[in-house]
Amino acid sequence: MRPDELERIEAAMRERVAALPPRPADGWARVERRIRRYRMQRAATAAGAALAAALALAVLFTMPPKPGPVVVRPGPVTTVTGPAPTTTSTTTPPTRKAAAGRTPTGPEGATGATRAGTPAGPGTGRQAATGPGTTRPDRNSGPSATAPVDPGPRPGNRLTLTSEAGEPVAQGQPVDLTDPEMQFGFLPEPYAPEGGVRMWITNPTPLDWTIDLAPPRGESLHAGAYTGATLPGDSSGREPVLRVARNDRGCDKVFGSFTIHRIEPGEEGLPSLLDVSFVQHCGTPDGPALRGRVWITQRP
Amino acid sequence: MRERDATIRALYEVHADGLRALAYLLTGERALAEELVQEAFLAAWKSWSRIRDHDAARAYLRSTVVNLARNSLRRKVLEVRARFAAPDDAVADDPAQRLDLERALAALPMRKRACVVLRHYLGCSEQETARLLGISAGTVKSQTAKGLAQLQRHLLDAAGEGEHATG
Repeated sequence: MRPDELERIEAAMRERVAALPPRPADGWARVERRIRRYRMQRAATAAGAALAAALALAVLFTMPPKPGPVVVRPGPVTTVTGPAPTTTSTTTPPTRKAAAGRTPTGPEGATGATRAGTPAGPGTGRQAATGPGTTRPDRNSGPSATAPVDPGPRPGNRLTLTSEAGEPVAQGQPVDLTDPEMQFGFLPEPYAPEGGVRMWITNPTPLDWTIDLAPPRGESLHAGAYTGATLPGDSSGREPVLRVARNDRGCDKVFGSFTIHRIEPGEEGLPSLLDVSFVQHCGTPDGPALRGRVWITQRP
Repeated sequence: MRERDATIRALYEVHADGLRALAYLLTGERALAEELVQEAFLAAWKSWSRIRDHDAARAYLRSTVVNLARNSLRRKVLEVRARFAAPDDAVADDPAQRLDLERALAALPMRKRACVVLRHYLGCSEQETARLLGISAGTVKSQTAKGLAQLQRHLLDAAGEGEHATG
């Protein structure tokens, strides 16, 4: 490009910026309002956690030493009955989803197996004990009656990864990223592969994780397992697409699979919620594996 | 806490205008640019313990604005496409030139756009741009060159169409 052409572009940019109206007089006041709002949210979260801890302790120390069967009824009030004096205490109300009997599948509770790519589901021990008539065993012979009830998926986001030695993307290091340290989002085409979605996890460090997913051509992403996944450029259209990359690190050849545990539609053809686990082998089908799970929700 | 507030405010006074320009060139939208700048300062306030000094703060704020602008694409891509068809009707001093540049910038993928704006509006070096965007200096070089070439083609096409229309 000739210098005068470059100068023209630079001048055009400068002129456009010069034509911007002055900074709003209350610009800093708006920033301050955001900071105040953030402080209040954080304080409310801390207060909620302290209250929950206090209630848990209260339940623990007011339980009789050998209570009879403990019945947990749905709803915000947990009534403990038995031959010993009855104690009534309140617990944190179950979430709408937990109350509806859905199995929480968010990665926040993921442990070894789920991080290794095994989908969580019924029978994984994470079901909230809030169903009607659920009977808990005696606290002396089984799980503590004060064990925290899994509240179900949080509105937050998370990416967890395990990487085998020699795996080039995470380079053998475990990864566990959540907000607010990271920003999580979905990007549509042309960033996403055809018919799919790009999950984008970033921070200003800058650290950029991208996870591209797409179903075989003609399908739309739905809950279930996808096997035989390849890179977008390698897919003939019959194979699903998987690509997990970090900044400039990626694989030239991918052999992978992924399982969508939950997907909910959102605006502009993008999901509002996506919970997916995946395995990506680099280079060859038995190459070093990158296993992970990501949970992104854009719901308000 | 007060010290952090005071420092962030000082940073706002120094950098807000530059960041607003950066956000505006990346997004093409004034109101969104203002939003992104405010969000960037909130992010800096939250991450203050990790920001070491003034230079680090500037780099942090710039890269936050770039990332937020990129993130805003998630919701804005369709609007950008719509703007191609129906140009922004905001009043401009030179509407033709304004639309040409904004259309040309909007037509660039975000990485190329960010490279062009950071290198040729903010005057960042290749290394600094690479750090801000999390890519290699070589990628910055190639993305900037391709972005400029694409901008030039777009602007020439627009100029040709303008002459054709008036000729």
